[in-house]
Amino acid sequence: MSDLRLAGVAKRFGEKNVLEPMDIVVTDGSFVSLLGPSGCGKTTLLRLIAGLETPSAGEIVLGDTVLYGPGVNIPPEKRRFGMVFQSYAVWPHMTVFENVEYPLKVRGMERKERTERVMKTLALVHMEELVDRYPHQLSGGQQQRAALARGLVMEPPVLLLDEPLSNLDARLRAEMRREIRDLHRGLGITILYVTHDQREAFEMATNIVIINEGRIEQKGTPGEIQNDPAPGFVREFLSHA
Amino acid sequence: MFADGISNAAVVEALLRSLSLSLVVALISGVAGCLVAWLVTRSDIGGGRALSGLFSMPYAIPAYLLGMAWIVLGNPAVGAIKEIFPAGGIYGFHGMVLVESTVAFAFPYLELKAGFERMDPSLEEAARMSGARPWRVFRDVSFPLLWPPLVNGMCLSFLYTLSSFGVPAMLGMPVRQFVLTTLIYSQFRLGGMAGIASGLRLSLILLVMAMLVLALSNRLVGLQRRRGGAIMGSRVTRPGLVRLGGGRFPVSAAAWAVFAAAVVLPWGALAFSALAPVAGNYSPSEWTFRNLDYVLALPEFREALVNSLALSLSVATFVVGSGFLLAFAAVRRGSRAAEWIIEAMGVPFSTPGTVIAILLIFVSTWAAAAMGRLGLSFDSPLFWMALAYALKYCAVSARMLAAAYRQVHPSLEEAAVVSGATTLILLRTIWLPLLSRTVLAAWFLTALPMFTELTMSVLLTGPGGATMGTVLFQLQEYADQPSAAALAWILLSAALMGAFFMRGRKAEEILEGG
Repeated sequence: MSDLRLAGVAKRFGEKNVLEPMDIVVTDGSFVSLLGPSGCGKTTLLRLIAGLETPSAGEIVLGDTVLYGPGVNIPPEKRRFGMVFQSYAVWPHMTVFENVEYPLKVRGMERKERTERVMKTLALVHMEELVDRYPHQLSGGQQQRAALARGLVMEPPVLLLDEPLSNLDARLRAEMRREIRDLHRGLGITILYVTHDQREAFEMATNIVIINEGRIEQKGTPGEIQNDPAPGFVREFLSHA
Repeated sequence: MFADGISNAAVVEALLRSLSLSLVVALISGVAGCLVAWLVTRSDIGGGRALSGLFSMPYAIPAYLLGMAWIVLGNPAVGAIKEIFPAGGIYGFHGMVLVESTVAFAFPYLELKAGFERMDPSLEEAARMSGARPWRVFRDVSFPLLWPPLVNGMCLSFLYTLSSFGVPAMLGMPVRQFVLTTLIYSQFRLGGMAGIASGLRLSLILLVMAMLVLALSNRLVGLQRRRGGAIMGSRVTRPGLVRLGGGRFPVSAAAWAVFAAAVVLPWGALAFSALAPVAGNYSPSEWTFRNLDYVLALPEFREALVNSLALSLSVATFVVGSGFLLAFAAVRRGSRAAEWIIEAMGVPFSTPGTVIAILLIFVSTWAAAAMGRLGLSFDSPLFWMALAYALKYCAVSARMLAAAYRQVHPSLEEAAVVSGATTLILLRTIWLPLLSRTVLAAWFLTALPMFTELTMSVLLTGPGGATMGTVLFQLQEYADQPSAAALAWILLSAALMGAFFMRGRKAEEILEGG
């Protein structure tokens, strides 16, 4: 169905190989976490999938649609992904409602339907009371919820999250981990989640891809990796829990 | 009422022309600055990094040199490309708009470029991920967040054009199109106390206009600071560049062509004209160094070279040296007095040069009379020029240095103090080496415009007081085009070299400072 497939996707900046060619399949409905130390290339990989950066080689396919490949490079605005950024990136000149409404408005949805969808999505992240607030009137956690709602509102085939919890305090992080996991189970959406935090990956994901220095070190379910970590980097990395 | 010897209608006409010229230039600069700033920071335009620095160069070029180049190109009689201009050639309102915009463009461009560079790129990327095309992203996100620096840059363009003298003198006065600065100059040229008095009254109008625009600009800077935190990037992320796709080649070619037309073409025009035997004959087989030889042998040129070098080197050194100490006192010692002085320097910086010069002439006349009563005589145009330059340009270096002091962590100084360094040793062994790059940059940014200064010099000059600017202005007025072009070519080459080395200095350091 609408699996996301990466075949031989690589990225070079000048002479430097940021990402070696890699193959990844994100099956429909799964929660895949890209896990690795900072600077390993996991965020770059996410940005290649989003269309914000252009790969140097390879193919990115969503369902039957080629997003990137020979002679094809669909711009980010036409890839229909939802995305949550590390810095939240909620627009300071728009209210919570306007932020979440934006993707629907850009796509020309009717006002009445828009309002319904926005309120439904805000209820999912427990923000329905704060619709008229501006971002500077919100806490970091609330801004993150608004960003999450904005990413979810158009029911994207895949939701991309880039270190969404790294700016929150420990207690809030635990709460959000639970909520994101519940959202995944409740809505059945597909999630691709970038993090350097093992706990986030192992608690939420159905599949984990461990990346180091631009290479895939190991792929598998959390159980598989925990029971049989690949020798070398993965063992070393997991021992620093 | 405003001035003797001219009608109120003439004053009103000049005022309206000043305002409309400044407004049109500000609008053109704003649109062009916005477009170029977006292209070099957010798109995959070809040669974007190079263009980003090159487009800041006009900031350091005296506009009147470009004006002279455009006279070579668009003179209605012998202009090299006079066909592309209307019947009157480059002279008139459109010519002033063209040349002033080339330079004034740099203000909104630098302001907005800095805005784009500081803004968290995720804000725009989030809009793209929401389905918005690049233009919609600009309309819905970039513009609403970045309009304060853009409009502030346009205010600075407006102020720059309102205060400029050289371009309207060269392209407007010959066809009797006066603006406020050139009207003041022509009144002053009538001579005597009457001339000074009407100059003063007209200056007052100019000053009020300038201060109104400045007040608006300051409000915008304040708004920018308050908002800054909300849109600033929390970490350094390379923005995902917008692919121009099929438009990439034509857009890149157009940008390079605009740069060539704005900077390279005028430089080439002056070179050709300098080498031409007579104005209008540009055939390479007849090139000659006669004009250059003639200019270099002129006694006025020798005098001007010595004066301009002496003035710019000594005043720049004095201004940067005192700025170094003042900024230290204000930032590192928390001296309210030093802080206040640096703040006050902003007043002459934003005051049109013409107004400063007229005020100093008034003061010098009064001083000469007072000294005459004591049986003394003191009449040196160079002294008043040095004072005028120092007043006009002291803010730039003091603010750059204050910003630089602020960026250094106090522990570096505290470590030296704990080691037993006194203030003087501290300044010499810690701060001067740490800030040497900023000191050098501040010195260049102060010395360069002084070396080619025209607006104030042309009013303050007198016997023995020729400068590069005034000699050039005279040659141009005597319609000795090849000689004027030869001198302008030398000066523009020097300015371009300076601008090339200074390109890429952070805009806000120069424009806003502390």
